[in-house]
Amino acid sequence: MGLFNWGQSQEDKQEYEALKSELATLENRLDTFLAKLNERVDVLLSGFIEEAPAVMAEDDRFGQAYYRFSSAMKGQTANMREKLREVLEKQIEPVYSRYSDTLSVGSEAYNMLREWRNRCADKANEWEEQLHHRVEETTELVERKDYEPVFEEMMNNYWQQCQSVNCRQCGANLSIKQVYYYSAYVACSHCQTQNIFEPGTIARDIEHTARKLAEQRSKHFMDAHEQRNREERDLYQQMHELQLTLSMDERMSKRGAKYEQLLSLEAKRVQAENEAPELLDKYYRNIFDELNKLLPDLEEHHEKFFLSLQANYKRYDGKRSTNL
Amino acid sequence: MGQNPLFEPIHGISLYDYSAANAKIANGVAVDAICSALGVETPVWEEASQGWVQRMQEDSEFIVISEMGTLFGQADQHPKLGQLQPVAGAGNAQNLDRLANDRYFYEELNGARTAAYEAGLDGARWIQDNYGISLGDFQQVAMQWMEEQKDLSSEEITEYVDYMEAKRQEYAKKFAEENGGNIADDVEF
Amino acid sequence: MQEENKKLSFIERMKQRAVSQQTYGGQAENTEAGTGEATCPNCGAGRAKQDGLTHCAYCGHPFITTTLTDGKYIKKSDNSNT
Repeated sequence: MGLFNWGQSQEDKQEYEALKSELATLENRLDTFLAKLNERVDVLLSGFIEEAPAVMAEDDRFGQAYYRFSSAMKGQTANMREKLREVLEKQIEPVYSRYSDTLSVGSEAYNMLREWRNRCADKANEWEEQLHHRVEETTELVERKDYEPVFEEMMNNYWQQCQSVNCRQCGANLSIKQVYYYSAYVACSHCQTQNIFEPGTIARDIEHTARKLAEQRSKHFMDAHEQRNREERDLYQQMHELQLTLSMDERMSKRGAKYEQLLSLEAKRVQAENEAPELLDKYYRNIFDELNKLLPDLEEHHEKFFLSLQANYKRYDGKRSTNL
Repeated sequence: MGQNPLFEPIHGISLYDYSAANAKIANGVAVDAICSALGVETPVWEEASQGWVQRMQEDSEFIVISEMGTLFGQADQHPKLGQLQPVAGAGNAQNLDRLANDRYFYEELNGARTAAYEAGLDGARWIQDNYGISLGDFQQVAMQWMEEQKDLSSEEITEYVDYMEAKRQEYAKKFAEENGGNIADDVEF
Repeated sequence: MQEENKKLSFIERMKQRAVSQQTYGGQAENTEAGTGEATCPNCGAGRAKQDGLTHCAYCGHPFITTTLTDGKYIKKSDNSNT
């Protein structure tokens, strides 16, 4: 018997136990490593949440310091990801390849080795997924803002600033009556002189903020859209699992309780599948309806922009074929 | 191209004018200088700019934006804007020349720029400070390399991607050290 | 506790780096609404609405050498009749 044929001999059993314990030790070390990384993630994210408001408060209108701060936070998570990948590559995979070359396929030891490798990979993937999720959550929490008062305040400030804008020639108030998104020639109603009106940074940011506000007001459609997508995936999964339990007879005759249940799941799934794109459409339509309300003078452009966006998201409207 | 209303000049400002002007602005040329070279006043330039942005948003086929990318890379050949330089000077001509001719140098700076952003640095600023290459010039050269990429084999492309990644890691290490290390440097397996 | 302080200082360092840096192209400044100079740079005359935007009605100096089309605020009719 060769060393790793894993027969019934005493020697083989000992070697099996030795491998088992080697693998268990490595897996424990991986668990500890992930737990230690998690502690650092905690420190990183809680620190980010704590300091972000101060960074934002002192920032310029493009939010560039916050952008750097948040890039750095994400850079640190990328660095931890790389560390984990390196551990898999240098500590887990070499052990797997070393033994898998010598163990006979299908033996108990070989199966144990394969399962161990899969578990380690799953743990790493799960950790990464969780990290991704936590970063998204943290970012959303930090960046969450109610655009209603922000937009209102911008408009108020703009109108207030306009009250003191006078004609360069005769000094009369220029009586600005609309939002100018960029500089424009404005004629004085008293002396007819053309002035070059500079609307200021607030006005230049209004379109962008209106967009954010319109998205905020439409978010419930996006949430519902994502919810339907999740439902569709869940139902599809349920159907798949149910299909695996069908007997040959049920499968061929397309009859029986399970088959009925399958059809009912399919009906719900199709409904969710049909509603999801409709809700996405409602989301975008609503954004542009809101934008038309907020900035009515841009309606013509909004409508063309909407059609162009719509043409693009409709391109990805794929449907599943379930073939029941 | 002439037939498509999406390409009609706005107040006499063509897509080439608009694209080249943006390349120049990204290089630090003042908007006033752009306006004089184009023979317009600021409100005309701004309205044309806004108009081009809207055209891009309204164009579901992305033909305007893709054409803009090509024209952006030809800013220096623009008859009215080509010669404009920022007041601060033209930057480091030697480094710029190297960037345009040495693919490895270009990939190194690409990797460094990514690493800089991941370290919380302003990558564009870092390249400007260390190599005297402005954002506009960098993007123009990037466009050239992208055009040339079409003729490369997949092995060559992989070679450059790997090189950039190696450089990114090298710079990431350097930027981290400059700021006292990464948060999990001492976490060991 | 000491370990904790060391980590807190990492966040501090990360924040310092983000806020103390010069941004490419400089910090974006805020401006208020106002008016800019619009008299003729050649003869100093004011510009009246009925004279159009492209040329000075007094000395013929060209303010704008392109031909204006129909835009949001500026219209074809704003070309001066020269």
